[in-house]
Amino acid sequence: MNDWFPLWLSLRVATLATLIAATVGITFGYVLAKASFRGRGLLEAILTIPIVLPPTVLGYYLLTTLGVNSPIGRAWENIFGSPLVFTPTAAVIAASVSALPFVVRTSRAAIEEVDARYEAVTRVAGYPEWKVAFLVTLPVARRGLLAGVALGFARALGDFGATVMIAGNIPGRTQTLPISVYDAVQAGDDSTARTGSLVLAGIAIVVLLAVTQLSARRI
Amino acid sequence: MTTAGITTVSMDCEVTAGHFTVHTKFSISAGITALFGPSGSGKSITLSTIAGLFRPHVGTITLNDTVVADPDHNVHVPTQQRNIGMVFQHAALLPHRSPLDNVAIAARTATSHKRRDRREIAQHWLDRVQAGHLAHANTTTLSGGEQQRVALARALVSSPTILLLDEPFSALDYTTRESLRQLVRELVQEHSLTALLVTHDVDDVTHLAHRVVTFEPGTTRDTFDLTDDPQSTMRKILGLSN
Amino acid sequence: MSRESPAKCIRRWLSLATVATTLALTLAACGGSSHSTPQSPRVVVAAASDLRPAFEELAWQFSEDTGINVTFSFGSSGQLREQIINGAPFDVFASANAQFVEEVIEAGRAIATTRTNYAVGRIVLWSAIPESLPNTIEELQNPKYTRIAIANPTHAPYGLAAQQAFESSGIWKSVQGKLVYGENISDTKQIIDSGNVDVGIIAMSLAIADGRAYMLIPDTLHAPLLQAAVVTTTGANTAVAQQWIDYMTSPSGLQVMAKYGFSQS
Repeated sequence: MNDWFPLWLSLRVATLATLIAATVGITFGYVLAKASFRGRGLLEAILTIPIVLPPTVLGYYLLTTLGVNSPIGRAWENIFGSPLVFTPTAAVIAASVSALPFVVRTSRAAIEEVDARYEAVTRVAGYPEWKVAFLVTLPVARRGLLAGVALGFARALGDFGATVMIAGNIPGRTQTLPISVYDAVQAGDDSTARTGSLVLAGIAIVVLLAVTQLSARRI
Repeated sequence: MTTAGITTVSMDCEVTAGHFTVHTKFSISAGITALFGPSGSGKSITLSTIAGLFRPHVGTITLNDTVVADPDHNVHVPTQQRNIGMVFQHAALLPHRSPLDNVAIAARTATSHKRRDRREIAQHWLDRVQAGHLAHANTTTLSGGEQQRVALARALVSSPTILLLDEPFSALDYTTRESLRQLVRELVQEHSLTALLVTHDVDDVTHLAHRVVTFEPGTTRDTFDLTDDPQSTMRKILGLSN
Repeated sequence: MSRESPAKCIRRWLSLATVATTLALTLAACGGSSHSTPQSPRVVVAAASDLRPAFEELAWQFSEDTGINVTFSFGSSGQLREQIINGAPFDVFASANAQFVEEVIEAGRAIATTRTNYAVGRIVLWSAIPESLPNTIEELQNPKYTRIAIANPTHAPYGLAAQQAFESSGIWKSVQGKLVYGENISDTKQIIDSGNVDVGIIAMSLAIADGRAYMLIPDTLHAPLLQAAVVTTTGANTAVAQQWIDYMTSPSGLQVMAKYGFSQS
């Protein structure tokens, strides 16, 4: 494999997507764990949809929601001068949406596990709710949160169906590593396909191992 | 009549937590008041309600002439503003921070917000509870007694007027319990605190409390003064509940 | 104050370093990662999968002659149509059937005057094991063929043609239960190649490029696979786009196409 663009693109896209999924996902996980409101179950179900939908279907819905024919797409084009879809940004969106449910669900579980008394004593000490979250809840839950983010990264790195729909398979622009592997298979280029697959698997393994090591503390 | 520095706690309300409803009615002031009764009668819920962690759905709670809870008039003073200190059965020290930081974090409302000042105050309180040497120890490996000392320091560092203790000694061995009771007694006297102690241990009541509020499943029963002859008063109380 | 053994401590920091390095490398690559230099002219062609071998050869000759680089995005014509309607920045759309091109023009995404019928496609029977290749399509009823791969008829023109061929031969009912669908015609070929199905129907161009034996299916059994191409309005290189289409239909271009089984009628 002599073209390393897909690898760099994938790393960029996956890292940005993970940052987005982590921020949004942990926030939603916190809200779902703490607040009780009428639509809570429905909200969690909606956030889980990207896992349940076939990736191509997810990509199709993203395409019609963000494409040049949509209000959002047109607004984007007015502001930035070019469409949102079929750009690396669109790839980041596809990967973020795919990774989000994993972060939300694991975050919610991790935050629910935090002993309520830690939060209670912090409240008693006079801290407002948001401070309680950052001082106590999130730090105590950090192992679960980290695991969720790692899972999200792996998912973002490997996304194919949604990415190819909304970002396209444009070599040198939006062709991520998973897409280039698929493309190589289609072209009968086994050596490129094999190298790409090994690299993808290798990155995922290294990151997941690193996260496991970070979490393996004697607490 | 309240003297300067003495806080009164009056409750006449109903709280529901899960499927359990507790009806409480009592009024106490200075010194240590034990909340005594069988397990599951609602003592801990009562304590948490005074702290503001639970809200009554009817009735009122008054701390020192200020109504802090009155659902009919939409009054609920949040926990953060009730100026109380709380100690749990298993300390609940933040595992990811040192004992010193655990206390320093609680010093927030005390004076300045500068970390150094808070740490100084925290160290002073740790010394007072004879845990000064544990300031930088590993929080998760402290013994039960050591944890409760740190928890006490944490509860008192912001100079609250009310101290809530939820079965603080039940996980400790006899000698440790004795020395911690002594410590609580001293602290309450030194700082003119009003303390509420949830316990089902008779010794806690007789060795420590100035009065006792008895609980039966789901409700408070009576308030008894214990200043003279706590032992026989307790015997009587226990005889009554048989 | 950590009480961990030194070994564990080192491992932890190594992991942190790995993650940090990956992040740093990633962000460092943030700068110019676009593959082709903005200076050299290029054209982006969205083409049906059956055109890959033919177009790749054409592209090499094309850039030799004109100095224009060609970037391809191969896929199923239906999916490409969908993407172009939603603004995909391709310059040329070469579809495996004419209808998708019509739809793209109707959606205002292509220039009607540039529309060209560049070839007629053919379908063939193909197998990974040439010995099991049937002589006629009717033979597929034989129970020895347990699984047959075709491209998905709903969005791949070659798949639709395969279905039409089954229907015209009167064997659709008996083979329907044995069908395995590929996403596009290349995918279908991969499925057959893997040996997981006994036989299948693919584009003649792919069979020719592969080199193994194939059986041509009479074109009377299906609607003609009129392959059309058009210049889109969504691409950035409209000027050079026309050059590609012209090249496709030039004598030398047609020669290459013919080599891969694309005829003019």
